[in-house]
Amino acid sequence: MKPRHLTAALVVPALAALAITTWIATAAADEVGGPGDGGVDAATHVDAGAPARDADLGAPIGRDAAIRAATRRDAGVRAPVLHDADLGASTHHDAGADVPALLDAGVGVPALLEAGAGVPALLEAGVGVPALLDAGVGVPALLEAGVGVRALLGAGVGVPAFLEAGVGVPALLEAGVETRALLDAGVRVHTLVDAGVGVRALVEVGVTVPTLIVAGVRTLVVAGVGIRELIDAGVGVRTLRDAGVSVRALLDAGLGVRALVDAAVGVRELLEAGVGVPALIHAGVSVPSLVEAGVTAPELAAVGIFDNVAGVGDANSGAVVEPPSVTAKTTSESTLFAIKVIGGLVALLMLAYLGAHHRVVRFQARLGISGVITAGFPFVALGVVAALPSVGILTGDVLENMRPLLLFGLGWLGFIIGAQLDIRVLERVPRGTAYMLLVESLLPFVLTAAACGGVMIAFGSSWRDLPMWRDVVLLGAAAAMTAPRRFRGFSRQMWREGRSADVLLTQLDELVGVIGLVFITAYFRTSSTAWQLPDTAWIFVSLGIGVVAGTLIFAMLRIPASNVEFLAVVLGGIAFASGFAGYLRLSPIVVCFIAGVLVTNFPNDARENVFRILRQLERPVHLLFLIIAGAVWSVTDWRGWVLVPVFVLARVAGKWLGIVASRRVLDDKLVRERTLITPLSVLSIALVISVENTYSGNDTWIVTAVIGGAIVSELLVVRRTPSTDSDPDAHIDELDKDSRQ
Amino acid sequence: MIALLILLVVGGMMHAAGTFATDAGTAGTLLAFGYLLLVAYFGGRVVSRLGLPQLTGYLLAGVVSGPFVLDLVTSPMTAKLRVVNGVATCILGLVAGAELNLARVRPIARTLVAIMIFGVIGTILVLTGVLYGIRSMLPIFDGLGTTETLVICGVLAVALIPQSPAIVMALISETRADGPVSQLVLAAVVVADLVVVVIYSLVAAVGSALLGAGVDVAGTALAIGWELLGSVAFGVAIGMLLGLFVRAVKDGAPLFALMVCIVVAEIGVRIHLDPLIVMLTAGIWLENFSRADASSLVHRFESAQLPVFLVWFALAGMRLDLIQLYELALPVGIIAAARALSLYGGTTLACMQTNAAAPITRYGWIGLLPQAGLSLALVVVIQSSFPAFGGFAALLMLSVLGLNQMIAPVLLRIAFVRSGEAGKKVAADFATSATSANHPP
Repeated sequence: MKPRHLTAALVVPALAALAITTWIATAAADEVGGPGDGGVDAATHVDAGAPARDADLGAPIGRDAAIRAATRRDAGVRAPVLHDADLGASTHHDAGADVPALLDAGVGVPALLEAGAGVPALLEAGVGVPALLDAGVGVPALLEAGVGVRALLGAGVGVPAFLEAGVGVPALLEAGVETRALLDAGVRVHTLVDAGVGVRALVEVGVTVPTLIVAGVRTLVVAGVGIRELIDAGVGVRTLRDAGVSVRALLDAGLGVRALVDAAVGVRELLEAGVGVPALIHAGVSVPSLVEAGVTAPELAAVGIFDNVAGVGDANSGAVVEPPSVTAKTTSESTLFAIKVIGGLVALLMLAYLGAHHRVVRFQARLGISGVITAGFPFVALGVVAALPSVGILTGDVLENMRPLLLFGLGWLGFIIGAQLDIRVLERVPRGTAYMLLVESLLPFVLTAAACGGVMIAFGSSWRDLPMWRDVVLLGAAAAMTAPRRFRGFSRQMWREGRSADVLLTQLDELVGVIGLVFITAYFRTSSTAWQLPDTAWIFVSLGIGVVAGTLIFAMLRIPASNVEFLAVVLGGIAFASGFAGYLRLSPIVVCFIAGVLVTNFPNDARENVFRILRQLERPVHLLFLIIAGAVWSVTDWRGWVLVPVFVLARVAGKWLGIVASRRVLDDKLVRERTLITPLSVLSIALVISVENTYSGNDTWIVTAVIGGAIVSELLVVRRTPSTDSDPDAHIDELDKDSRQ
Repeated sequence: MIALLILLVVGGMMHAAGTFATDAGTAGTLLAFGYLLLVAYFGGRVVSRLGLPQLTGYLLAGVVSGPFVLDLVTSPMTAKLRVVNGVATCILGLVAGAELNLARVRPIARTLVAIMIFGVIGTILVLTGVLYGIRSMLPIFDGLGTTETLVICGVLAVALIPQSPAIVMALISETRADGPVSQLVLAAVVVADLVVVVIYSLVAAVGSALLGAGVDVAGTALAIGWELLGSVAFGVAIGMLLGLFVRAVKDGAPLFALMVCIVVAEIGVRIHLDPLIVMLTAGIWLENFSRADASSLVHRFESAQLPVFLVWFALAGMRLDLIQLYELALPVGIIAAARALSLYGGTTLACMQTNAAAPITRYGWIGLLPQAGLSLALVVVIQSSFPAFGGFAALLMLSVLGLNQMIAPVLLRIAFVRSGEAGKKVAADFATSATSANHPP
């Protein structure tokens, strides 16, 4: 099969999957009358129902029924025309028979017209306007014959026909034509204004303020257009003031005092409008200006302007006063705050970057610290420090602004882990791997979940609370996953023949975490949205989006011609998939994991390029994780610290049971290599951050349990177990060397 | 075909996401970023098949996805992407500055000065006259006296003239053009933007005084002085800092430069500095005065700028209001045509006066046509400076800008190709050297 054919074969299922996803979305939106197609349907009902007259507008009629009703109406309108048989009207008319007689004789209107009967005569004979229109009589002829605009409107003549016939806008307005209909018919706004249509009426029918301004309307405020609308449309404060808008009205419209001060609104006016002295000072009004405007010394003293009230008395009496520059201080404070936050963030990242320098890593190695968490602990600590209120760099707002980056990082991690799951390699894993994986993952999962759940209930959580179950599943999944004893970078965890079982198990048991996340995001959904699906359906939505994203990324990777373009496509693909998952309150890790698996396992020659790009982003994403993990970590929550030993002990017990169970069934090198204490996978931390990001809950002790548990586990690994991994070390800094090669 | 299918699927998914929730939230920002990145890239691929520059595809992708056409990407989604604009401006400024080798520009300095006089200032005068001539088509002039009309025409003319170093850089990068035309065009647009900033500041101050807007002329002059000179001084300091980092630390210089761009983008505007001028100056300093080998830094930095370009131009395309463009089609068409003809006449005259090389005379003017960054900045400035007519001026400027954004890149690409400069520059690639790339461009 040629690559193009293959791509087409993959894109078509992707489209099909998309169609199914969209269908589910549409069905869900219809079910709840959501903002999507529901609105369209409602409009269809009204449009079709109104002309049908006899249709029950109150009843929820379907689209087909509405169309049928509309068709019936059309048929009814045309009915009179149908009996117009050609009865030789011309002959009769020429013979001097009068029009009524001919009509009575069954001669049709078209035939009479053809025979030269005038429109006035036909009207006089009682022929209705609709019949004349159906017979092809034009609007101008009817108007000439004295038919009024209202009558024609009643007969269904549209506004464009009147305009074509030269009927003026005032006449149409007088006849009751609505402004909206005129606009729809292409009448310009300024024509309507000239015809006397009020600005308010224009705004009410949806004409935007900018359009009105373009049309030269200068009386917007007088016409009662909302001041907020005008401000949003770019009308300046001075223009509004010139139009007579009061200061109070401007303030009520949400305009800040600062904007009014900048627009040279007088201090006196502001005071009269009820603006307080502190607000004026905050907006940049100087103390002398306040004094000039009549603010008294006690008033200034009351807001803490002067320590020495007598000094203000001097100011009032004209003496020179040197008040503190409150204005400048306030302005500079906000600027300095922004600079502090931005500068702090940059400093943080630069420190983190320098902290990962090869000398630092070598120093850590000499201390025996080489795990993923402990090696990166300085960054976690940086995050903790930066989030302290006294430091105030990683504040809630800053973290909120960093969330898109965090979501991307989660998606990136999911993608890179999934991309290493090469099914062809896994076909060659040693016998018994599946059993060992099952017992070594499930037992720690169950034991940790049970033990931590017990402690949480002891702390007051109720087993009836869904969030408690979510946290229990989360802790169990985090405990089930392991990391190699030496961290070699996220993109170097792929098992191959000859590497230890440690690496193999590390890679495979991350599946437990991914599956755990699938269930958490499906069964523990909190917010109600337009898509009202059964919980189980969300599992399939997760899987479907993952498949579509994977197929899409695979198809996209066939296009780029250079590494720069690869970067754009990989970055865009992961960002899109992560954003889509986040938008649907699903886990970016899961969606991107599936996408990564598909991209790797579809036959293609772009794998190496993809991995090269992923490795380039490895360091920033790793540091970002650790810093944010530190920032969201509430170290002072003692309950989390109580959970740490429970978490670690339960996990060790689970692993021990797993190993024992494995040894009873399997007796080969694979089992002998297993150790009791293994480090926690970095995905555990990602899992916690992902759930914290999705639910923004208050259960920060879960973060403490996992991070603390990870650190304790790694320290125990260093103390208890000598490294048996024969692969050479590859610390974070070595990734740069790879990229330079 | 595949690119079209991908656009279809991505667009469909975006629509499906829209049916899920209207509240963008955090994920909406990332979704919009990924979406714009992909549709801009594949939009560029599609239009390149038609012989158009990929840049046009980036812009079209934004137009189609934006609120005025399909509304797939809503304004709340892109609210947090404003940081991309700032960072992109800084990256472009740094790279454009580093491309300006003064030794190479010196031989064409006379031509450059002449272009500023005949091309830029001449076009301002021509546009003032044209605006005065078509004042009956523009409702803001109703009932105004001659002096007021002329002042507004003058302010508008200056605001309509800015060029776009960003688009020129993007097209030089896309076509890998190198030679006298591309060097002159790049130098001309950078200098022209500086000239326009100064002239606008003067005209705005004078105009405000004449229109009785009560602007503090001395204060305005001081602010302009700070913005220009302060930006240059800050830029020199940034250039020195970057040079020092490259010499002392070496590793991670592109990351450091990116951090600097973020800082300048976010902090610069807060202390009333122009990020473009700051980073432009830093780039010029690095290239011409620093002892550090800045070329490796800039080239590695340059090679990773495509994603930023893609999102930035798509965001720019999203601002194009097609309905407004349609409503103002006639005056906008007249203004755009007058601008183009005047730039052609002025630049040709300047080249002839200074005996510039034939390709420069023939194609140089085209580089002055595109509009983007500074024009958008002036849209905001004019609204706050002149509330009486700023709203309409902004609409007019955005419409002219939109028209130029669509047409000018096509012409500039043709100019680079016909002048024989396209494909002469060796491209740096991301994550590998140019020679070792698996898929050479």
